Amino acid sequence: MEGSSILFQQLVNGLTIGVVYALIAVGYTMVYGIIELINFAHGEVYMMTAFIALTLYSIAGLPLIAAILIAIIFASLLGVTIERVAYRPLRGSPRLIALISAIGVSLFLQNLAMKIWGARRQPFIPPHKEITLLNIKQTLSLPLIGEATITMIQIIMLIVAVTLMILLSLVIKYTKVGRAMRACAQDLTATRLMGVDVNRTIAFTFAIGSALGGVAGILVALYYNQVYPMMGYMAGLKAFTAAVLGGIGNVTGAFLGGILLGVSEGLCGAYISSLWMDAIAFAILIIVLIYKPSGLLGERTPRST
Amino acid sequence: MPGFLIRRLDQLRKRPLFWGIWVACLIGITIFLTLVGMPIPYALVIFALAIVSILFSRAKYLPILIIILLAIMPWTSQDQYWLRVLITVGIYIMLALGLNVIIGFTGMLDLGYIAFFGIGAYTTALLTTHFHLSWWLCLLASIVVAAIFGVLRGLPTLRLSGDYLAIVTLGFGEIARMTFANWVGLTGGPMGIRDITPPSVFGFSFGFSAQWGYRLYYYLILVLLGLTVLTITNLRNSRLGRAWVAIREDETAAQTMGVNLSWNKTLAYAVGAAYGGAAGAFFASFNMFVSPNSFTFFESAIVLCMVVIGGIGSIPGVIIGASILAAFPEVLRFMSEYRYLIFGLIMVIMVIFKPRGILPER
Amino acid sequence: MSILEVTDLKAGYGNIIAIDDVHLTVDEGDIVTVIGANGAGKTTTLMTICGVVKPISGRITFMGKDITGLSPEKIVKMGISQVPEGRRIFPRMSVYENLQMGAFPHKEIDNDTLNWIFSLFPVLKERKNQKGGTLSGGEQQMLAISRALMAKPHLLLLDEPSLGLAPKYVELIFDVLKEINKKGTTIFLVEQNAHMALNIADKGYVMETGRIVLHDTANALLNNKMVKSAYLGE
Repeated sequence: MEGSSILFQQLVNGLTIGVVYALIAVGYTMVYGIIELINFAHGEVYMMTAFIALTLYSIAGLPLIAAILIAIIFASLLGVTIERVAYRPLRGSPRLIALISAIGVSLFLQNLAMKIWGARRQPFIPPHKEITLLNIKQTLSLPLIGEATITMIQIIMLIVAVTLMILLSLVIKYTKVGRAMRACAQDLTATRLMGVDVNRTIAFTFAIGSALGGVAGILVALYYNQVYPMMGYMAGLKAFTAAVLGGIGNVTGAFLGGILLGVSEGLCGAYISSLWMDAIAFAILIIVLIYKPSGLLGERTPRST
Repeated sequence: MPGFLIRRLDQLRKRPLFWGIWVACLIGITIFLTLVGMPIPYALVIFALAIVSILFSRAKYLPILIIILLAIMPWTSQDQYWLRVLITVGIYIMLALGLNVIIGFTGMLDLGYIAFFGIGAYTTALLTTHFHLSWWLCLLASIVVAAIFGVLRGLPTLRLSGDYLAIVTLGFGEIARMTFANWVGLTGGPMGIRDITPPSVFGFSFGFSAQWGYRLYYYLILVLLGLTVLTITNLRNSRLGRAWVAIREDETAAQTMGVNLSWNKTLAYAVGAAYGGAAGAFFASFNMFVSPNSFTFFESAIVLCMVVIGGIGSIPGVIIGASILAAFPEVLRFMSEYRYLIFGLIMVIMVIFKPRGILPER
Repeated sequence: MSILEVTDLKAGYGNIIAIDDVHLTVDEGDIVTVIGANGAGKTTTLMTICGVVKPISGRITFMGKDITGLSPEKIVKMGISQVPEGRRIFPRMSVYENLQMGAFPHKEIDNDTLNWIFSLFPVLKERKNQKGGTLSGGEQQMLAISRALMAKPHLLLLDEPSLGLAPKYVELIFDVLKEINKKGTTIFLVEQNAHMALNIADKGYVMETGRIVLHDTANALLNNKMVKSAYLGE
């Protein structure tokens, strides 16, 4: 491949993985915006959802769409349950304490997944099956620019992610519950005085964030065609990086941060070394935090512990 | 009833907290030993000794008693497995105490502390395998190198606090691990470095032997731990320690008292990292093998949990927290498949019901 | 008829008891004020009535219904709104969005109320699309009061509305409070500025270290020796 084709190919690949980071990052950023907690278990919700979808689809034999929808509902319920059991009792205590609880939940879910599904990587689509959309194979590549191509699944990922992000922005901007979420992020007590059920709003935030994280998990499972218990760990860390990069608490920022991170990784993989791809994410994070702690679109800096 | 016994019971009644802690300590150690695999008869003997010593001794001798107890422990069994467990617990205690300087004393959240452990371990591993330096020199080098990296990490992050600082430290931790894994020329990459020589004194090796088993390592970590506790307690009560606590309580107020934030924070990083480095040097020689897998974020999280669950800032609390959490997977061996699952659950339950830790700082 | 009745109320934070043995009655259509120094327990009293602070013991009834220990969202729905101390408007929301938040208990934003508020505070109409955080202190206080009014409350609680405001704004706000009251909203006002508060109030309570030490009609309190020396600076 010639130079410009490599560049375009890496941009496409980076963009695809970037929108996945963005979808996960939204969950982190919304939760952090309201309860100022790094929800370490969020990456595990992403992983569990992929596994549930896999079980329903390749083992139970449900149609793909049904499996995906049920898995997403499961993701929401899981997120809400985690909040109810592990975070709500700790609201008002030092945030470090809630962080420990989050790490505990994360550990629990990782090991639960290992117990149920085993530690090894499993294909999402069984070897003999093939996924098609409108009779087009998901692995079909379309020529783009030069020798660069885009596969069907990449197109689907981009469309799904962008649509969901736009929907989410509209919900947050124009609906009553969206306003309540923003109000919670600005002043929890004042929001209660407005007659908002803060607990319900927070639960709703977890439900939406987890559902989006779950969608990301399924998309990635389809993209790489593999699911494993540790997949949530790195994805979670990177998505959180993306959230911070964009400015924590800011949904648009999370989206931008995710894409920026994905593309930088793609470029790093092409021009530096794929081994250092993961390190790039953290290097970017550190540089951004040191020189612009509020992130790219940040409107707030975090409070101290 | 003999007179001294009455007096003792009277004392127990008058200072229940003080005596309670010591009794709990002694009983705790014995129960702990049985759990990690000491034969029950020995445990009962030690338990009885503990009770008798509490009844007959004076308060100031109690620490000595505990030291004696710890010293005779490795001779109660020929089984070397549980001695390995004890040594591992010791390493974790050291790490937790070091991290406690950063989190507990100075109040800076750190999610990448294990990097210093790794840096110390790799320093020792490289120096012994390439240059065949004496382990004691390596220990020194590990401490210094880790401290330097502590400063290097601390300087650019001085302005940050709270969660952002936590994330940056996490990033540094991950970059350190990836460096261990990817800089194959230096670190051997994912294969790690093997055949690290054990420490020795005048040609007498501390390594595993038929006669001594792992006992010499055990005593070595005991001595290192003793030094750690001693130095950290002194630091805590020094002018520097007070400056750290002032920063933790209120940065602005500390500044108005004349505490130099940058200097004291950087020192806290350096000191905390130094202990991590020392623990790493020990780990490298004890394990005789280092690889990137020992320095994952998971390990940082576990050490953090030891500090928080034990009681942030409290030295005895951190020791207890580290002992419990480090031994936990071993205690739960009989249900090995579920142990980390339960581990996670217990972390959640602990912070919900005992948010200030088992033995909070007074 | 009394709209709010507080009996033997005790509340606090953790182990600290902030108010004890508090008895209050607010009659429908009145302006009632609680005056007292900083830390006397005035804010805690309001927060307990609103349900943000859970009472340890005692009873709060609103329009004949027991509301003790109910959650704030239920209490707001029943018709109690609070203008909290320090205004606490949502700084990153526009003025209009802030008002929408105030109307949260209702399905739709009520245009009559909105127009009334804009006639009380024309400046808010001008700055409708401006972010709350960019308003001046006085304007923020107007917004906070308007936001509470959007819920169409029967009882309006105000916590130190004059705090930190320029004198011309203080006058304006107290004038508006009278007007709001004339429109039929009962007002329960907590103030350190005893002079202003007692001047517009029908009835007043004096609070010291968590307890009510004195209560009478506002006129009587204005002429009370103790109140005069301690709170009116005469």
